[in-house]
Amino acid sequence: MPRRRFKTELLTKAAAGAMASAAAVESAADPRGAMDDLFDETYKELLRLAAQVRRNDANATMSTSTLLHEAWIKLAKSSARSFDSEAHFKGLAARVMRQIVTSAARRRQAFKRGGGGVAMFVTLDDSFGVPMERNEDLLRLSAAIDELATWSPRQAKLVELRFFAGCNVAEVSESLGVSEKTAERDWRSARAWLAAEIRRNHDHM
Amino acid sequence: MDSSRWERIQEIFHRVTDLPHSDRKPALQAACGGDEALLAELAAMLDEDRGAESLFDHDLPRTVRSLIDPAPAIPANGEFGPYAIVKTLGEGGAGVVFLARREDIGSLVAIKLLRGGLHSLEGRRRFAREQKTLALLEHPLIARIYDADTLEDATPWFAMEYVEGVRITHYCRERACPLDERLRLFRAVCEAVQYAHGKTIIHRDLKPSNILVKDDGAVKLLDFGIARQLDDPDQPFERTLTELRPMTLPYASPEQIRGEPLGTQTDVYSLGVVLYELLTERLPFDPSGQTRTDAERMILEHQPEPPSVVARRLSAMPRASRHLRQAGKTGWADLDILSMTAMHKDLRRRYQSVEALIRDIDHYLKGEPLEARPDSARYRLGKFARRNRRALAATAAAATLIIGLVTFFVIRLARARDVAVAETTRTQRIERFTLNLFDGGDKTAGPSDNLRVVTLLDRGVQSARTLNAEPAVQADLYQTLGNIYHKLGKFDQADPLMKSSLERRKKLGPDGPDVADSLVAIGTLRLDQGHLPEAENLVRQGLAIDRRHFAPGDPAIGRDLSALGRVQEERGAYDEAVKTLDAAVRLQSARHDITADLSDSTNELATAHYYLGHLPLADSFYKQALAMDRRLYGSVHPRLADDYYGLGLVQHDLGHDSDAERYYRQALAIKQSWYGLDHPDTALIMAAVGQSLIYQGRYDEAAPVLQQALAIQERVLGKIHPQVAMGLNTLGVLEIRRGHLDDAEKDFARMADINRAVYGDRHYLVGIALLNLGQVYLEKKEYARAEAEYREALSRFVEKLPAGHASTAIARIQLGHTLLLEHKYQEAESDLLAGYEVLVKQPGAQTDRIEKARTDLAAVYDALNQPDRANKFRAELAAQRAGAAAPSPRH
Repeated sequence: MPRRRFKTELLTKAAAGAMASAAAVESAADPRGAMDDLFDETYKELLRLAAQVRRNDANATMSTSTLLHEAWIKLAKSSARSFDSEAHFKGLAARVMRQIVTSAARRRQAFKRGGGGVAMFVTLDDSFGVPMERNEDLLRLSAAIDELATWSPRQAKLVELRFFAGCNVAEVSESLGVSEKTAERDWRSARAWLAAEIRRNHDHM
Repeated sequence: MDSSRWERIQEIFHRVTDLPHSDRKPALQAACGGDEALLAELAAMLDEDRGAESLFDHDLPRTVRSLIDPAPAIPANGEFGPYAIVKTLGEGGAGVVFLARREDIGSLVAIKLLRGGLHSLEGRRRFAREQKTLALLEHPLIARIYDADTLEDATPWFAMEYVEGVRITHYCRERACPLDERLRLFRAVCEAVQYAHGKTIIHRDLKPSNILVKDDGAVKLLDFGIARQLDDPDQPFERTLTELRPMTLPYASPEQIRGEPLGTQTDVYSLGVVLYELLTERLPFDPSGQTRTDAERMILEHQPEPPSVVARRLSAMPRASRHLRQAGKTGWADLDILSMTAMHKDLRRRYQSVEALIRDIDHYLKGEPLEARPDSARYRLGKFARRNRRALAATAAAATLIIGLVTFFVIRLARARDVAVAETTRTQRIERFTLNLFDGGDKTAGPSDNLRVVTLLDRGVQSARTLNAEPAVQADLYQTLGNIYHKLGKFDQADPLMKSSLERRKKLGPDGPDVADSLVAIGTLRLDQGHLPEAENLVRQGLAIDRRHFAPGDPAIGRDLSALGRVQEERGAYDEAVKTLDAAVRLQSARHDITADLSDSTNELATAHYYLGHLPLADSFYKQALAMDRRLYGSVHPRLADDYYGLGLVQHDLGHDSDAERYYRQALAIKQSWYGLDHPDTALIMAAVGQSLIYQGRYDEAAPVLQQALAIQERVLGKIHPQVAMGLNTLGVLEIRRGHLDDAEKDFARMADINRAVYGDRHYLVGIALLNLGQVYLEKKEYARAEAEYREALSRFVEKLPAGHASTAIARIQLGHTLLLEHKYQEAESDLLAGYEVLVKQPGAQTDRIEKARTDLAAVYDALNQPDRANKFRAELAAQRAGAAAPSPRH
């Protein structure tokens, strides 16, 4: 049978210009409040999609970007509260993904300590096996992003977009309204700092 | 931190990272100007700069993926069948592992829960079959599998022997084992793997965490065959994405990384890596700190450091393991050869079997020369390449072109092979075996000969004979190989294999479903060989056995019915065939999912309707089959070709020959690309293309096509075969058109003889040959002989075909025409009229024939002095000519 695959074509970029995108990201940065419903809806859609993909294709290994892409197609069509643009959606979705992933990582952590008998997450990709410490690193990363946001909100957003929404440099630069070169440099320094921060917390634990 | 300090940090960071490595430290010192905290922060960031890429692009995204992939829910009571979970042993590997206790006997087992569910019926069946195979593994060094099942959400789990032990690599390091002991432990591992290979089970994920050593020094291998479970059972041939395959990168063979079919030699490679690790306490390729792609490229392209070199370096270090100094220079040279041959990237140069590896270990332990030779040619070539890099770059472009061609060829073959295997594989271990034989072996003789599927198959038969497997496995192997030969059109090779399989299965249980499977398979082979009564007898025997074993709605019975329907169809019992195939289709569509069996039966049903002249029904069923096959197989697959062929036939009968040609050519392109020229299907459809060209009046194009098709058929099928008869028919028609009447006469006479031999004298297809023979005599103006042939044809049609069939009508009109020419007007009138009345009601009315009939009828009534009637037909004729487009040529 033909494997059910995600469509991989890229959507045509939303017509919204860089200004509109930047504004959208601005509002998405604070998902609570006015954005609450949209956040919840995105959250639900992403979880539903993740479950659906697994049902349809037991061996599908999802990347966040394919997941978000699917969610965007779905929400852009159906949602009563529509997004301004795909960039707007990505900004919000990056935040949503981060929340989904960190709470899953916390649950896994709890399971590890608490033992069996509850619904749990299993390491699913077997190629290397994912060691538990990576799970902890993920939680450390999330904390470090929060810290980074206190002095450089733009870079924190950039990390979220790149890491949790799977955006490439071009998409990130469009979302943030900066040049690709700046986005690339910002990414490299932020990444080095975050990695060092994760390592520091590692050593303390 | 605040943003201004962060700005400063970033500014220095970017400035320093732009510098070459050696200049960084002083630049950093200068930039920080004594601010120790700043210096520490930047030093930490620069340290992480490289590693961060892998962390962010690889390690953490993997973790994220593992989190967003929803996992199976453990049963709320923590129970798997009779087992209750005690604690979690570990996560990773194939999923999650628990320690569990069997409630009734209290013994401890390890429960392994695999990722992903088995959602299709076939997936679950395969799982059940596979665990039976795994249960066959009874070896003191292999952890037993006690039990296996699926959870409610279809997540598979295994209960297996709980082994308390440590990884073989840890064991050796902790105890500082001497070299000989390391090699003996390793040899024991090899023996266990060899035992499993003898049962056609490949491990596919050998690594130290699956090779434990217990306190008493005994080795145990875990997870045999389980890696296989992780492959999607529904898509065995579409494993294109590397990350979908279960493997552990540092131990994965190059062919595994490339996603190629795996044979036993993949385990040889992984064993080689384990050996390397035991010798050096290092991985040959260490992927840590690298992106996945880089790590894969390293395994695919780089040569590891020889163990001797690593050992020399390590032995100079303080607290070096003593084993490093336990082999002299020549000893290490042999160990290099041993491990490098086991890990060879080229399958031809790698140890061909675990047994060969064991032999060389024994040679080493006894101080004898090894059988493996140092890889000197490659070494020299590598040196040459390094010295002449630039010159090579120029020739490489030319080489790429040639390699491109070869690769294309190989891919095409691989696809032909895949369909053969995919369509006939019954169990995964057989599949593994067959893939293995396609994978291994000597490919040095070049693609023109050695890569041919049949050559590979022949080699497979050799291996199957020497395999010494248990009778059931041997029988399955023979059956599978027989099926593949059958699919490839090599009936003579298929025959003895299938018979051997049947004999073995009968000994195991004379009345079992396996026997039924063999009977039906041989029956279908007989059908394709043209031995119809025997075919029907065998299929009915198989069906009877399956009816005793299975419920009436079982897929096995659906398949048997479908085969029976095909036999009935071939022997011309179209009404019976429609009934049988209707039943098969109903049974198979009761499950509401599209299956290969259902599309098969639908296609056959369409064909039966086609033969009955139910053209709209046939068209509709062919289109249904086509839609199903497209969903099942994509757009290029032999099954779609069969559907296109059927659609072409229908169009032909409707008189739309350019549409028919279009369908035929679609079918031909597919068949030829899958099977090559020397295949009955290719020839059959080639003949159909030729036929459609004839009916479009393109005789000169048609002739070479038809002659080629016939030559293939005679070569592949033998001279007495229904398809050769059909080829002769088409060629004969062409010869009539071209006025080569003597050739046509010979063709049709041979056709009649063949059909008599195959179907019996009274068959409708004998009638067709005689009908056309009559046409030849008519053209030769030998009316008495023509009349005789037409009467012979007509009597068979009346006997065998349903009332109102076009062939009967055509025979009557031709006979009537002949009688008219013989001035037998009274007789001519009744036959012409009867034929004419049937024909005008046919769909896609055959205007040229009707026109001829009307002309003849007018002439007959003139001769009979019935001018009213004559005028009536003349008027109809005028109206037809006024309203009609140019008539298209027919028989």
